[in-house]
Amino acid sequence: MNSSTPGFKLSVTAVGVMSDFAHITVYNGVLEDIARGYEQLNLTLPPGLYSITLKLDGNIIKEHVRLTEDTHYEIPTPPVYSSLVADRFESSHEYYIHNAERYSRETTVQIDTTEGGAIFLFFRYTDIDKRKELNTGQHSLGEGFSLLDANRKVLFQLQGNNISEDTDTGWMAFHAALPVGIYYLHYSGHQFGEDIGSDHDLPPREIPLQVFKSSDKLQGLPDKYWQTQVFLTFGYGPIFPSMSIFIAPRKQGFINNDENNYRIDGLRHKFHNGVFILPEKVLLEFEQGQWAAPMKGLLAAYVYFSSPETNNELLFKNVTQDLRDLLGADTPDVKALQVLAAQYYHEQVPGVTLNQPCMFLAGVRAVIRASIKHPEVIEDDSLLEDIADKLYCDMVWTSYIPAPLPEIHAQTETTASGDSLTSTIYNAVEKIIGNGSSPEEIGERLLKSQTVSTLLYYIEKLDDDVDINDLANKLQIPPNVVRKTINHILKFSDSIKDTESKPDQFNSSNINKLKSIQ
Amino acid sequence: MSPKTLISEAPPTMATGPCEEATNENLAKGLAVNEEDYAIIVGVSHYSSLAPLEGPITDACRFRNWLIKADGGNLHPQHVFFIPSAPGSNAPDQLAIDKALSDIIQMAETKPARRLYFYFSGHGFGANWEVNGMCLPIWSPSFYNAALSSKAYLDLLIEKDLFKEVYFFLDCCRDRKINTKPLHSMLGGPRPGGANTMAVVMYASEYENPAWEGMMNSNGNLLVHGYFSRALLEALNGGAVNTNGDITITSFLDYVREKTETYAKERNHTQTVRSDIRNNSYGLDYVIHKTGRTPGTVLTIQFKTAGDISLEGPDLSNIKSGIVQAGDSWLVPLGKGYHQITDKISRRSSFITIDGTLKTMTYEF
Repeated sequence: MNSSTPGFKLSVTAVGVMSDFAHITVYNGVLEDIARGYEQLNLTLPPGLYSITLKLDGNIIKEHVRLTEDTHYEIPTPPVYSSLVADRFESSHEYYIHNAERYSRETTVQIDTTEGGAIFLFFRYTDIDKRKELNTGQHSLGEGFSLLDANRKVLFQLQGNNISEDTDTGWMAFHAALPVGIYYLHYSGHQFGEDIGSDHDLPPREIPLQVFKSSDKLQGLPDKYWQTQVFLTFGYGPIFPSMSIFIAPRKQGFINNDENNYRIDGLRHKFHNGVFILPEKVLLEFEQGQWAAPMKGLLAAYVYFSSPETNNELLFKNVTQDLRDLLGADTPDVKALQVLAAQYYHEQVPGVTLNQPCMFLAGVRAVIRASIKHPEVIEDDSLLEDIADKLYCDMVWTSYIPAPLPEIHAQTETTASGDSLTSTIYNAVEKIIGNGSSPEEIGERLLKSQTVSTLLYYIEKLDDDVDINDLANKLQIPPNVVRKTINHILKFSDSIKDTESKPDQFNSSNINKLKSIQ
Repeated sequence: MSPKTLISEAPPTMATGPCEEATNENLAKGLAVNEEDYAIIVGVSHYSSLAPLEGPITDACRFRNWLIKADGGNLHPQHVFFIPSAPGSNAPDQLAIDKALSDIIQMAETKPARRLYFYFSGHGFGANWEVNGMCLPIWSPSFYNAALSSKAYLDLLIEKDLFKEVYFFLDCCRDRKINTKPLHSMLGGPRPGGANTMAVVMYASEYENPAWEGMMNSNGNLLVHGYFSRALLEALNGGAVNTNGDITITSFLDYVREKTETYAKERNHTQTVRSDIRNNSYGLDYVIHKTGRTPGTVLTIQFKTAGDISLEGPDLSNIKSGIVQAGDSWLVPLGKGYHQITDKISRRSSFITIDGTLKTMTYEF
C-alpha cells in the first residue's frame, strides 16, 4: 500500500467456545493469503474485496468482505463436541454435567486410604438419543473395564457397587480415593455381533493413570493431593481417542465451565492433530505462576517441546521445574518431559530411568527414542519395556495392547506348571505375544505378532550386517526389545518351522541372520 | 549396516503403462530440461482386499505428464519413475519403490540435484498425526503393516541432503488405524542426517480424516479424480499463479487447500489439506514454478432479471456498469481474484471468484 492509498482497519475476532483455537486466515482480492493467526486479527488494509476463513475442529466458515470503511467482524465459533462435560460444548447435557460434578466429590467405592489423591472416571454417550440408538440393551458403560494398581493387580472392576450409573441417559461414574502412584485402566475389548459388524470390534487396551501429590514445600495450593479426572465418550463402545484427562485439586472435584478445562481440551485436540499451538492466555498464566490446572502445564510442556518453537525457552525451563514440584519429581511424566526437553535442547539425555509408562504418548515415544542410544533409560524387564512395541498411537494418551488380566494369567500358569523350562519361556514370551498352551501354539502366536512379522520382513530385505539399533530405529522400539524378540524367535524356531501359516521370511537364511545379530 | 545395492534392471520411467505417452518438447528441440530434478509417482488403484480406487492411476498419470511437459516440470522422462498398480497383481511392492528411489539417489549422487517430487495416490491410513501409511496393493488385515511410512520416507529424503527441495504429496486417507507400524524404507547409508533439504509436504486431508475421490468434469472429460490431486494439478497448470505469473510456495499451498475444500464441499464432504514445510530458508514467496502467464478468464454474465448493474474488481475499481434487461449478457475478461457484482436498484450483490484455471466461465445473476 503506498502512502496515498487510504487504509481501513479490518479486525476479525472469533467469539464463542474454543475461540482461542479458531484459526483465522484473511485473503486479499487476488486470493493471496495476507494474514493468519488464532482468535483475533487486526489489520490495516487498502479498500477492496477480501475473504476471511475460520477453521475450528474440522469446521470451515468463510466470509466475503467488502472493505470500504473500518470494519469489525465477529465470527461465532461452530459447535464443538468433546468428552468433557461442560455447558458450552454441544455434547454436554444437564443430566451428564450434574452427575459428573456430584460424583467427582462423592466416592463410589470406599477404601481404607484417607490420605491420597483420587481417580474419577466419567463415561457417557453424546446424548440420550445416541444411547437409545447404540445401546438398546442398556448395558453398563463399565463393562470390560477394570482399574489395576502399579503391580497390575485388579483393584476394582467398573461394575456393580463400585460405580454409579444411569443406563437410560447413558453415563457411568467411578471415583476412588487412592494412594499416590500409577494405576492402569484396563479394557478387555469387545467383539460385536453380526448386527453391528466386526468393523466395530474393539481390541483390549490399557491406559496408565497417575495419582499425583505436590511437594510439601509448595505454598498456597488449595490441596497438595490431586484428583485425576477421565472423561470418555461412547459410540458402539468406548471412543478412546476422545478421552480427556484433567488434574484438579482432590477436594474440589470437577467444576463445570472451568475455563482451564476448555483450554486443556483445545490444546489436547490440537496436539492430537500435530498442531502445536499455545494461546497467549495460556503463556501469560504460566508467566504469572498460575497453577490451578497442572494438566495445562503438563500438556503445554509436551506441546512446546514437540514443536520447533523457540520463543519461550526460559519460560518452559521454569514450567518443567514447576511441574517437578507440583506433580512429583519421580512421576513418569515428569521424567519423560525431562527426556523430551533434553532432545529439544539437543542436550545430553538426563540420567533418569523409567520402568512404568507415563500418561502422555509423546513422553513414552521420547523415552523410546532416547533408549536407542541409551538403553538404560528404560529399566530392563519393566512394564515400560514390555509395552514399548504394543503402543496404540491414536490418541495423545499412552495406551497399549495389555497383557491379560492377572486372574486369567494365573490360570494359564497353573496349566503350564508341569514343565518348568517351558513355563519360564512362556512367561517371557507372554509379555510379547500373550499366553499360549503349547510351544506350537506359542510359535503360531509369535508369527502373528506384528513386531515379529515386521522384524522378519526387515531381516529378509536388509543386508547381512544388520544392526540391532538400526532395527530398533526402524521399528521405533527399544534395542532391548528387538534383542529379546530375536531371542524368542530363535527359541521357538523349531516349533515354528513346521507351522502351516509360516511366512516366507521364516527361512534358514533369515534365521542365520538373526543368530548373527543376536 | 549397508543396504543391498538396488539397481532397476529396466528403469520404470519407460513403462508408461496406463498413461498417455508424454514427451518433453524441449528435449526433442535440444533445449534445456531440468536435469537436476527427479520424481517418483506411485498410483495404486488395485488392491487384493481393499476396494478398488478409480482416481489414483489417472491422477498419477496426469502428474507424471505435467512433470515431463516442457511447460510443466520440464523433467527428463528418464528422471520420472512412474509406478502404477495393475489389475490382478500385487505390484508394486516396497522393493519396486525403493529400487526407484535407489536409482534416483545414485543419479543424484553423481551430479548436483535440485528437486525431488514424491507423489502417492491410493489407500492410506493415519498411524498417528505425523505417520501416514501408504497402503501397498497387498495390504489386508493380515498384511496389516504392508504400508509405507510417510514419515520414514520423508525423513530419509531429507536426511540424505541430496536434494535442495523435496515435494511430498500424499493423496490418501488418513483415517486412524490403531497399532500399525508402517514400513521404513530399506534404503539407508552412512551419510549423516542433515537438515538442508527444504521439504514441502502436503497431505490430502487432516489426520483421522478421509481423502475423497469423485467424478469430475475436467475440460469436458468426465473422470474420477482425487479432489486433492485435481486441485494439485490445477495449481501447477496455472491456477496457483500470482499476479506475476509465478507459482510461489504460498500461492501453491493456498490454491490447493482452497480448491480441495471447495471440491469436497460441492459433494457434501469435508476435506482439509494439511501442509508442512521444513527447513525453508528461501521464504514462502519462493517461486516453485514460473508460468509466464497472467491468469484470467473470459466471463459471460447472464442476467435473469433487469437491473442497474456494476461489476467491480478486487481493488473495487469499476470494470463495467450499466442498465441490463432480463436475458442480456455481458462478456468480460477478468483477472484472477474476487469480483463483486451489484444491482444498484435491488441492492442485490454477489461475489464472483475467478481462480484463473478456466479460460471461459458463465455466471448467472
